[in-house]
Amino acid sequence: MDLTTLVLFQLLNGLVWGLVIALIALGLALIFGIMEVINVAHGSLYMLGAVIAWYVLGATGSFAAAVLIAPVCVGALSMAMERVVLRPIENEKVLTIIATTGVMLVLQHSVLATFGGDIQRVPSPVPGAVKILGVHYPLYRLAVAMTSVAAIAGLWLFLSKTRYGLWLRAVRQDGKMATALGIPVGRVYMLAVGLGGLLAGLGGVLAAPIVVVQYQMGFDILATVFIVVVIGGFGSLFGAAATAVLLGMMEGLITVVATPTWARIASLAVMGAILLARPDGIFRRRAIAR
Amino acid sequence: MRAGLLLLGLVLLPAGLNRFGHFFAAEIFTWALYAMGFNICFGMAGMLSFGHAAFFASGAYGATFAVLYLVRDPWVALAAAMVAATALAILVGFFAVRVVSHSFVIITITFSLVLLLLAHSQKDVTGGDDGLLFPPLALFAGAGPSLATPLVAYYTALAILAVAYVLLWRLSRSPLGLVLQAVRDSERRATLAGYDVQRYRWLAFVLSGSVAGLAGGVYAITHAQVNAQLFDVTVSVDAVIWTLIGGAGSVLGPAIGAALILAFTNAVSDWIVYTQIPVGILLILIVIFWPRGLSGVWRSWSAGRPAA
Repeated sequence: MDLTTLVLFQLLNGLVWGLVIALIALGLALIFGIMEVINVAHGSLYMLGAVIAWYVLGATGSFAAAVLIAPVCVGALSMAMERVVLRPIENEKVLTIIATTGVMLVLQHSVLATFGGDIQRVPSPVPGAVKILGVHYPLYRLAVAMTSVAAIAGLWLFLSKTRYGLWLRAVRQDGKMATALGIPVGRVYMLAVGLGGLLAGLGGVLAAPIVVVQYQMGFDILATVFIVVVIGGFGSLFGAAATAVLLGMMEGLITVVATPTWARIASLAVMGAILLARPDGIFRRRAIAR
Repeated sequence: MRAGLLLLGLVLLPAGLNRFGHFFAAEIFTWALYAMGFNICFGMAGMLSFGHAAFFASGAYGATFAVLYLVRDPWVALAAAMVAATALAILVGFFAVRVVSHSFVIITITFSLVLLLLAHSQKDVTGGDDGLLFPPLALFAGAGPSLATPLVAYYTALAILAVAYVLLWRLSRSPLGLVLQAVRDSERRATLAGYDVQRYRWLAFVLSGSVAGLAGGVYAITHAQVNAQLFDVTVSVDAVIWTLIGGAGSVLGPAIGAALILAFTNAVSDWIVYTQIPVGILLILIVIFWPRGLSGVWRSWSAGRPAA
């Protein structure tokens, strides 16, 4: 490969991976924006999506079934987590960080107990490649990019066009006022965490054929997703998505000249620096009224 | 007084333990020291760090490099461990204390993750997962009993833990300790009282990191082996769990939490392979029902009022 094709290839890789990260980060930002809870178990939800997909694929042989079933399972589990674990301590923000750490331990080691510690591979459900601007690019990754974009668009439609979407936005803006106006805030919280889990699970299913499925795979993305959400501006949903895509493409570009490990280190360093310079994120708009 | 009785009990305890018991107790003392160090940052100064594995591991590696390349003396190794961890904590703290709450959690995770990636990628320096080995050390620079003897490791780790406990207890009651608690309780009030909040946070962070590094040094000299897994996120999370379970409000709480959880996982490991599942459930229950940890519950009982 000459340099331009290599750069193009890595940029496409970065774009695809950035879109997967965007899905997961949107879930995290949704939960944070509405409940101010940092969900440490979010990486485990992503991992669980991939693991359930592997099981569904083994049982039915259909990747489409995995894409439909796994995120729903993860979403339902997240709703249970909100109801049982987070509801009693929703006013103690530091405690929620620690409680979700407990959830992470339970999820991760339950998977270790049933799925095992070995690496499993999910074969690419869409084999073949297409030629884009002279680069042979795997068809499946393009499908991942399109699915992610569709999911993000779906989330946007849900938030802007439905009644529950309106309620979610209302609670995010001012929880007390929303309560006073009769919005069922408890149900909205549950919905937010459920949607966040759904997005993380979907990210896990889509990533499964690209990365390897393993019970610790949640750790790999946790810090990246956290940083993306902070830089995107906590709670600013589409800022987080944009940051994820930028980060993915930056990491892809660095991979042209350095090993993936150094690319990861460099991107974390850049993100850390941005976080220190702009603690409120780069996309954060000024609060309208406090 | 109570602490004195506890120490006396621990000095006499080895008579009732076998060789594995000695080794395991030394292990507990090491991690208890690490948890106490973590709690300077969390309990005393109110900063939740998710990256303390970096200090433990850098202390362990600092000690190992001192043994391999400098002199085969465990006390020099411990000094090197503290120097390495302190230097790292000065660097990380310089950045981390500029942000609070969520961002602080994320900055500390990020730093420790970068170091984890580095440690795994620079295998010729760190040895990667296989780690670095050195022949067991004698207690005094080539003389005295070998630290590979579990009983020697036991008393060495216990002595260091006891000294650290006394110093930390004094710190918690010193003017400096009180300022840190004031910063924890209300940043604005501490600022208005004329304290440079960021500088005190930094100081607490560095002290915390250097004690965690000392614990890493103890780990290195008693195991005669270190590996890159010490940088793992799980090591950072352990400190949080132990502290929460033992209680962040006292100097000894985190140490008790570490001892309880390690003893528990060791005791049930014959029947339950996946001991982290009950630990995770316990963590959730404690956060919901007894957020001040076991030492908080115990103190409420001994003060004659119900646990809050």
